[in-house]
Amino acid sequence: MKIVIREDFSETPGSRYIDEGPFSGQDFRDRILIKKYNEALTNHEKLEIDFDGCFGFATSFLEESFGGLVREYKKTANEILDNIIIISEDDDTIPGLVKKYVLDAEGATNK
Amino acid sequence: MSKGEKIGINIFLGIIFFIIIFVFVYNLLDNNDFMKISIYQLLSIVCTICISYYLVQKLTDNRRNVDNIDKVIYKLQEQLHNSEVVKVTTMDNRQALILQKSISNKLLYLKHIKQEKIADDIQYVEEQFNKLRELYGNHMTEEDVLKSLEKDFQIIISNIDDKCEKMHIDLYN
Repeated sequence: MKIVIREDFSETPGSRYIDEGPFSGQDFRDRILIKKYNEALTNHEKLEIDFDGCFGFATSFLEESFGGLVREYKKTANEILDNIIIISEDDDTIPGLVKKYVLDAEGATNK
Repeated sequence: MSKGEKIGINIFLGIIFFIIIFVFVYNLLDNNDFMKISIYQLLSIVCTICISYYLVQKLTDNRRNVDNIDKVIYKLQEQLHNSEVVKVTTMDNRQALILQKSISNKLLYLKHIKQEKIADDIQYVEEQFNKLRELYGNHMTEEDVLKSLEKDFQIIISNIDDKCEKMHIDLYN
């Protein structure tokens, strides 16, 4: 199972929430990410997410997409990190940021 | 150095060269054992040459490595001073995101090099830049907020720039 963001979503991902403009993190999470993530889990596959070929990602987009999986869909950080594979040759910081946002979201949720 | 001084040095080096050649030829003609050498002497010379070559190569590699790190830091500063890096308007922020991605990549590469002298400074720069990236990312669709944050962006950029200057100095000390 794979998501290629530039093809399946947009080359110009936006900000955090849908009401802030097009191609937001919330939109990506609710329309694409959660659907493919659940499908991958059902099929006992890992979900590959390809971030390459986009103009760049706002940190708010990444936080809402992946931290939001923990907050809005009650997924655990370990489950998410074990079941996604991040492909990001263009931006080497993305794997670290995704991990941080998922763990931070879980930490905030558990408080 | 003036032209006259250069000519003087060249003449001096030429004289030294001819004296060495003369001494060599004189010894060769006058002393039948001149070219004879013991195994001990031969090994000493070979060892000296090998160690010298290794040390010179190592020093040259280290110097090149430091030069490359320095170039990356200069490039990072250049990108940081690009007015598009934190565009205080909500119109087309693609260039800002591209620049921020590029700077973050460079910081990640710098973080992974083994340069103890600048490790703490890189850590500081990374923290400051992450602060800027998060601040921008959280408000990139709110023009009024971006304008009110302009001063904060400038402070962060100035902090990073100063630390980069320090790294340029520390790298060669």
